[in-house]
Amino acid sequence: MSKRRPVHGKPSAAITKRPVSPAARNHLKEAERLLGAGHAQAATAQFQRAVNADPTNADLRYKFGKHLLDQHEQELGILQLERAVRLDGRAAAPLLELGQAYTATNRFADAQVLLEKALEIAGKASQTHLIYGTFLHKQGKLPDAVAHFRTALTLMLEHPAKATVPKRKEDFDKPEIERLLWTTLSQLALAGVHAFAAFGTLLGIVREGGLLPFDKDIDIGVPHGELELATNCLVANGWAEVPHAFAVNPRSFLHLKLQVTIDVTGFAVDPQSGATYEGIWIEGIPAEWNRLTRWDTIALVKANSPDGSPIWTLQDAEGWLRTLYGDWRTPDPDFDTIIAAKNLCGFSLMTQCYALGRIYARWEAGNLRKALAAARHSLHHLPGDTLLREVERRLSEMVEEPPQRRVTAA
Amino acid sequence: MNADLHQDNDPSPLAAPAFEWEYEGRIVVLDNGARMPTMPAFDRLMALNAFAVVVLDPASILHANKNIKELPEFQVFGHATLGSGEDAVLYACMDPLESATLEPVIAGDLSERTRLRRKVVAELPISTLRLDAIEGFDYIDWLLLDDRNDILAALEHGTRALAHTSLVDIRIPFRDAYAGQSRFLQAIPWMQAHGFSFHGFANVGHKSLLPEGKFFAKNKATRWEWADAIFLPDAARLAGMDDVRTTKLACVADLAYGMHDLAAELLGRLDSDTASRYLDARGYVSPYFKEPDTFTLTVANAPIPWQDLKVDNPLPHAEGETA
Repeated sequence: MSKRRPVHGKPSAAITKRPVSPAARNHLKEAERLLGAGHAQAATAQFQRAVNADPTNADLRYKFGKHLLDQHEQELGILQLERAVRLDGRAAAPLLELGQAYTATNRFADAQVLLEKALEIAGKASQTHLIYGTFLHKQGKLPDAVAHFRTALTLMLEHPAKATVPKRKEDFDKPEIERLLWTTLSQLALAGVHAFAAFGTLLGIVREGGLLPFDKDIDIGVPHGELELATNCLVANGWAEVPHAFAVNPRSFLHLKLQVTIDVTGFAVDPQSGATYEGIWIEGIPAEWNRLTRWDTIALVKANSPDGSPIWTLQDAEGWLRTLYGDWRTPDPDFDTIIAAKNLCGFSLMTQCYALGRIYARWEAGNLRKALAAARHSLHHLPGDTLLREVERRLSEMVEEPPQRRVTAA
Repeated sequence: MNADLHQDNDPSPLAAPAFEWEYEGRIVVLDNGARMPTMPAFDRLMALNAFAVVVLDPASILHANKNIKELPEFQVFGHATLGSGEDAVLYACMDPLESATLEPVIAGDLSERTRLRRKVVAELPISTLRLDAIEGFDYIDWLLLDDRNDILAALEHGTRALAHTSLVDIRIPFRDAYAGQSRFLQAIPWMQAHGFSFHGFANVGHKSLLPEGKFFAKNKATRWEWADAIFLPDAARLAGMDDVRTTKLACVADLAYGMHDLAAELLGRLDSDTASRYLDARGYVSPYFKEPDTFTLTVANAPIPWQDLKVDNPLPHAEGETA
């Protein structure tokens, strides 16, 4: 949910374009060519030259700002987008892009002004509502967030995104990342943290004997009371906490050398029921609004990693996987733990935010099977929901008609 | 000596058991240049009442320090330094802390303030003492040598005493602050030829090149001015050291320099259990090895962050669904 969405040029959200000066146009073309060739840094220089050649062109500033954000140059990207918005305050695309950038850095008051203006200008664009829903979600305003996600899907049904074939990334199961997992688990164990491989990481280890190739981060669990100790240990061992997190659980860290993310999820025990819970938790909202999963007693045992270093591991890893995934032995690439975990506690407002947002995002990205799976999982919890039924029907039709493979210029 | 010692900077996140150093007698220290009283750990070390210290204070910088004079087993000899035994000259500077028996060098890049501090106001005769000629030292556990006096001369005239010395700490200059200072590349072969091996640098004096007289949001000092080179008896000499001397060396390594690995290695030569207890006390033994082989998440170790949790029952597993 925290990822920045590309604001594409839908009619209602497009920037008002003023002709670009010839010199700037040449630099812009060169920048786009370099980007297509995978030379992002060289493209940055060309974008800069284009902006220098035509400094009052809002569209150039917008494109440069987007490019900088794509390159993780957040502050510089925001500066360019702010210039774009100052130059043309009625263009929805820069408003949305800058609003997202502010949201990603928890500048909610700044984002609100822009996104509300974008709603006025481009309130009929589905993306506007999706971005606004994400903005509300991050602040814990979940009922309103759900409403905007639903509006986004409703508008998507009216103007569906063209189907494309998404690229699938399958390079997570590298030996160095697996070594990093074992090293990190051992460092945590030796520091007194009862950390264990969990979720997709555990599934990969138990079922495949290694990390899942299409996974995107390392998942570990810890007792909730040890989250701070785990944080200290990770930071002392080359990890940096990902900034501007909106959730207090799980916490994400980036390995500075390998650029791998680890999600550390705290598990907590309810004194009344004795059940164990984990999930995605935001501070300051009713507990039941959060996404929660419920577990039986979790027990760990001492073990050794493949290289012999001491670690903690789940005593009943297969049982743990069964609680979460059901039939974990049969691979299902469309399974989404956030929405479809078997031990979800109801279908909370936050889970709905994730479900609706993911249906939209996958549909938009052309990942129709995953979008359909998310819709069906959501209907499993909300069987009478007419919007979800209509989305499911539409996606079913689209999945049955294989999308034409779109060829994009390299 | 029994002392309950706790390091202020103990990295262990858990409370570590105390470790008591146990040996007979005091740790004998010879400090040329009055370096020891300027150590950050000085007060903590003196509070242990475990040292017998002789300080040679050529510039008499401790002369007015009443607190030091009241310390037990702590002797200060002003206007004296180690050397060849010949008469020498004390270059008394505007700032007594800059005074030395080596002539101060006023380099071109010195700030005006440092030039002023290092300005020689008097040249006074001073007698140097040969280390081998000092009576009363059967052995030295810890020898500190400064960088403002002729260290090589002191070493050359102390070979007999050095044969019974455990840890030598030589302040090595990296800038030409005084004429004829001993260099690291001179000290290493000399010490190796006399039964010592270089262990490492313990402390480094940094100089900031940021403009003086201005205020900055933060400081940065990258130029090395000096470093304290630590020399230990070589392997053959270490193997021949008795238990008391070995323990005292471990104690100095631990208390004065925080060299826990060295201290543990030395203690391990005598008794592996003692070494293990020491490492435990210093926070090196992971709690992982102290707890049972199983761990269960409970309310105590994994408290839920809410007071009243009202959630629906989890859904039953849907048949045939897959991961």
